[in-house]
Order: sequence, then structure tokens, then C-alpha cells
Amino acid sequence: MNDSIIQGIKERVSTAIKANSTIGIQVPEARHSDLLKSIIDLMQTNNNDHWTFVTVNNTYNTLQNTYPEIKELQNLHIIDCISTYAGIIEPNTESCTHIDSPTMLETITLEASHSYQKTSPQQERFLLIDSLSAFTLHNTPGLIKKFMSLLVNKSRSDNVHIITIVIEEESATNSLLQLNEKIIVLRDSFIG
Amino acid sequence: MTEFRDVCTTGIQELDFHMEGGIPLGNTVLVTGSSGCGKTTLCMQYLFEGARNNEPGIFFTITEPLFKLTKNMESYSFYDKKLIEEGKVNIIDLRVISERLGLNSEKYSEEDAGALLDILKDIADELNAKRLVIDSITALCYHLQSRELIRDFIFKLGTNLAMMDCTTLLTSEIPPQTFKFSQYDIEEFISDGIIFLGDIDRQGDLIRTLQVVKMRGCHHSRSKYAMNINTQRGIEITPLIKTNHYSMVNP
Repeated sequence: MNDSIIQGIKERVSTAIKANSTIGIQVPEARHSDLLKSIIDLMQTNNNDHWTFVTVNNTYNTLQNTYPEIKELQNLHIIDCISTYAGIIEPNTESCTHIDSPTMLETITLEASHSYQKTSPQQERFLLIDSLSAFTLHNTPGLIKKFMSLLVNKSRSDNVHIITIVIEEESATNSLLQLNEKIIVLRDSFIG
Repeated sequence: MTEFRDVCTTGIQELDFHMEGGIPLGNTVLVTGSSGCGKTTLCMQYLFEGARNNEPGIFFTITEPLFKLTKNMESYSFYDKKLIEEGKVNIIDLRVISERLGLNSEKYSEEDAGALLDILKDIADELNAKRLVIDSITALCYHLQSRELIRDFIFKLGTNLAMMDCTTLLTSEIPPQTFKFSQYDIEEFISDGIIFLGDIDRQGDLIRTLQVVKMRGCHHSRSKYAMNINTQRGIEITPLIKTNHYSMVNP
């Protein structure tokens, strides 16, 4: 991972999410890990903020192995939608809640709400969804659109900022980004 | 001006919200669904909520032994052993009562059924119960010998419950993939309310649902909600993400 690239992405995301309640990020598969690294850096830097991270792309274990710094983050709660589905049985902890399957979208919204409730009124709250592309492997795009619409409306009323990621190569999901106030397109050539 | 209604809160905040605060006092509500849909948990959550509000309750079981019932509830935050010890939540095995009354536990006669109804009322009066649960009316009726007896028993039960100073949940077992509220097609007629617990199939996974089909005495949502049984928080509901087409397990 290139530090200057990560720093660049981090600044773009940070600026966008301060000005908008929902942002969508389209990223090439090859840069997905750089994007995640930059957002995790953001979590570390702004450690007064509270983050809820819904992961369908990586299991909690993979995230911990790839980004060891998340083990130390007190301001992060992970909703792991993929471990149990993949047959990896891990108990729920203070840091991570496991969902049986990525099809259980309503359970995800409930768990996200409970994660917000753990925050103090002074804390800014963020929800990261990684990724809509992975969600559409398990659900129809129409269902994911409704899920996003529900989540966006609920999160607005709960005063939560949402960051959603889609993978550029999965073109079917790119239109789902339209629900966001701001769309960031990270192009490989631009980043490089 | 806000109108205050007398209601029994269920302990499920979102459900109470959709029923203008809770189940209207004195209602008899059929909680219906197939095996594993959460009927017993919902009823227990309702009873413990009542106990916390100083409304003593009784859970009459005919399907599960007491130790198993309480063991299954121990992980939930609503469960409080102290409320049982203090007599605010009473769990009674109807099979034990039947034995003590000398009833034929396999098949009840008309007299046996009458005696059972009387004892239910006596126990509720003695314990000053405000909330009752009978889990399940289906299993209870299974012990009756004929369809006529079942019909008669259910009507008498309805009459007895209406006279008691209690808000009652009757659970009703239905087979999966059926569009009906009860086994004997009559339980719903003695009920003031019906809470239907079902499932929808989404890509092979079953999503639990809850729907208030009927609730006399209040304006209530008739939407279908997704229901989650969290091993700590108990039952919670949230809007169901509906699709134009989905396979219905319990419609």
C-alpha cells in the first residue's frame, strides 16, 4: 500500500463526509484495500467519532489480519455479515456482531441501530458499508436499493453519516450509488 | 388533547408503538405461527414486561417442561429469576394440574375440560393475575376427544377469559406454509386480536415476520414487519424490506 495514495483518499473521503450525510465511493477492485486502509486511518485519527462497519467483503478475522490496527480501535463496531455464512463460527463480542447471512438485511439495520445507541450524544456517528457489490451477490439489486433507501432515511433521522462502497467492475451496482448525496469515483489512473 | 388508553405494554417497543401503546387491557390475543417462529419468547417477554409494571402474570404451559422453559429464557435480558421467585411471573405446567385433578391426561372428557377451565380461573384469581398466557391452545385442545368438544371448550374459554380481569395471549400452532390463523379454525373468533408470526424465504434463508392482523380497541399497523430474536435483547421488530415477489413460507 502506498502511503501517499492512502493519504490522498483519506482526505477526499474526510472532506466529503463532513459536508454530506451520505457518500458513495466507486473504487476499482485493485484499490479496494487502499480505500479501506484510508478509512480505517480516518477512524484512528478521529477517535472521538463512532464507526459502525458493515462488512460483506471480508470476515472480521481477515480484517483483523489485514488491518491489525482495528483491534485497538475503541470507536469501531463491526457487523460481520459473511463469517457465519461462510461456515466460520465466531462468538459475538463487544467489537463485533455476526449476522447469519447477508440476506438478513433487516437484522443488519437493527444491529446498526444498537451500535449507534452505544454512542454519546457528542459523538459523530458513521456507518461504513463494504460493499453494495458484495450485497448484490446475495440479494437482488432491487432489494438492495430498498435496503439502502431504508438505511439512508433511518440514518438521516438518527444523524448518522453513511459511506457506501461499490466495486467499479461490478457495474450492476454502480447505479445504487445514486441514492447518495455525493459520489466519489476513485479511478485507477487518477490514483496512480 | 391526548387520549390515554389502558394498555398492556408487550416489552417490544416497536410493536407497542404500532398498537398505540400496547394491547388494550382485557383483550384476548391469539399469537399464531408455526414451530420456531417465536411465540413462546414473545409471550414470555410480555409476561416479564408486565411483572416489571407490577402486573402479575401466569404462563400456563402444556408443551414444555418448566425447567426447559426457564432455561431457554435465561439468556434474555428481560428474564429475571427474582420476578419468578417473588411470584410476579408464575409458570405452571397444566399437565401437572391435570394430574392433580385426577384428569385423564391423554383425553379430556367434557367434565374434565370444564374442571380445567374452572381451575385456570381459580389460579388466576388466587394469584391476582393481570396477564395470562396459555401455551398452547392447540396442544390443550389436542386432548379433547371430538371437534364438538373442542369448539365448545374454546367458546367457554373465550367467555371465561372475557369475564376475568386479565389480558391474555393464547398461542396457536399452525403448520408451515399454511394461510390460516389456527388449527381448529375457531380460535380466532374468541380473540380480540391476532398477532401472526411467519417467515419469508429470501434466497433460501428464512426471515421471521410479525404482523398484527387484528386488534380490537386500537388503531394498529397491518404492515408486515421483520422480526429478530436476539439472544440477549429478545424480540425486536423493524420494517420489512419488501420485494415485488418473494416466496411465502407463512404468508
